[in-house]
Amino acid sequence: MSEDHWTETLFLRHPEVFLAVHENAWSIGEAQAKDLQRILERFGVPAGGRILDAPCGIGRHGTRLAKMGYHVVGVDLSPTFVERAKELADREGVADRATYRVGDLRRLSESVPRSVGAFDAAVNLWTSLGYYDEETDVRILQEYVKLVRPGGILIVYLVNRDYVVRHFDPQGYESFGDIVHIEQRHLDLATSRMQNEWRFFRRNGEDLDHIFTTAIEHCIYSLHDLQRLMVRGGWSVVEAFGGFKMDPPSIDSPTQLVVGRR
Amino acid sequence: MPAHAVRPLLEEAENIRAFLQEEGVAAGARLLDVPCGIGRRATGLAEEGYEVVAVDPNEIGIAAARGRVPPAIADRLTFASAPRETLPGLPSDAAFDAVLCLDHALGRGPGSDDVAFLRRLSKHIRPEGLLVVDLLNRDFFASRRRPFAFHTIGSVEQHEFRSFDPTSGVLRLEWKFYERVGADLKHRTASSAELTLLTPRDLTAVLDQSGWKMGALWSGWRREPLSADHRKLTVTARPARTIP
Repeated sequence: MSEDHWTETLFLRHPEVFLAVHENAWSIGEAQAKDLQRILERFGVPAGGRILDAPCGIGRHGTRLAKMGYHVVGVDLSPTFVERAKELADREGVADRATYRVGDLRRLSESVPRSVGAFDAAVNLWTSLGYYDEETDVRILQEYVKLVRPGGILIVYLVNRDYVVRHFDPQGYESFGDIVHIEQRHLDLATSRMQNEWRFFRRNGEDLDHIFTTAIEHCIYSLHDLQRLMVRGGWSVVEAFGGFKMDPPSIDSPTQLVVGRR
Repeated sequence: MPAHAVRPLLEEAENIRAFLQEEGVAAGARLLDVPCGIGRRATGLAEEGYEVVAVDPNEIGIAAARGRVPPAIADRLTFASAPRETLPGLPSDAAFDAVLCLDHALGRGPGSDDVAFLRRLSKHIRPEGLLVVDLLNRDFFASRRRPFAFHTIGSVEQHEFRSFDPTSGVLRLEWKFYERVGADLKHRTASSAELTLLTPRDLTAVLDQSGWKMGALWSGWRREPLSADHRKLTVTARPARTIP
């Protein structure tokens, strides 16, 4: 029996559960997209420019960016999320400026036809690197290079390893709708890999009915790791921040946001 | 649900015995365990060879504990109940080599209650006797935001939801207890507590006011050094000498 990679369990076999996570986060996309707009402007992306949002989830940033006038292509591994992204873009009246398609980050350039043209910027948000090994992350970053025009930028937004170490919390609980998510976390300091067990339940009165459990194993990067990774992936690092607000990087910031230029 | 299942964090008697032995309180010594809860720890300590008097305000729990005393240690283990405001509620001549005041028995009411309670305990300690207090560590809960934890013991899974208010020093804990049936969690019971957490300095003051002198401070029964990274404070005290 071959074990699925956890991304397949989470995004392909049980997408309805993680869809609820995305739906729960939909509302925070509004403010984050406004912050993204400021970042895009600061680094010279023209108003109405072409943005690649990958992985896009249900388009909580992409569709908002389209509402601001950008032309957005979103790519995600999950057909379920892509379908939902299309629905939401339609609902928001921007289906002409935000298009969504299924694709794998590891073969991103195959997912986006040449006819779309080069992008002014690409965004990789919500800790969407580190899912495989480091060499794969380098190749993923190189895939963005193929799609962004010279002088264009890549924005990477990831959890901050230093924060995780300093504020390590071995267990987590989240509840959204009738879904309960319970997490047991372990950080292997030697490899920087998180080894987590995620259990998902559906509320049934006071009981919690088990939906599925998956081991989530991924690498988390400190800022210097991430910057080096981006350079290896073909990007020159322009500036690093603690998050969407362009505040300075900090060991006490849960996230980090790095801007690279092609 | 078996009673022991709702107390999954209770320390094992073995750890306490090793701790007491290091402090010079060896098997055979007379211990007062107050509040003793359902008496599991007191039973374990009697089995380790101590002579134990265990008192708790919960009369039903005490009646049940009495019924469970193994005959082999019946002569070394005595259970009693007394109202919380009179604990330990023993005759004035009852004297012990060590008094155990565990599982965060302080900080459950206004601060003055703790002083009165500890002062009553000081009437029952022998001159060279030892007081052991174990408390949740304020610095642990104040210095990290860990709103959730789960623990499993046998087939029971306990979910703990925490919120700490640094202004009042009150830690609010809510527990849900589930039974694991396959991978499902069947809800069995819930409970909650509000505890006032003390810093070591606060505790020193409380001991000073109640006839005790702070001895050593540890972060657990294994005499781990005091640290904000450990959820427990384990404290020893000796009776303060009154000048005649």
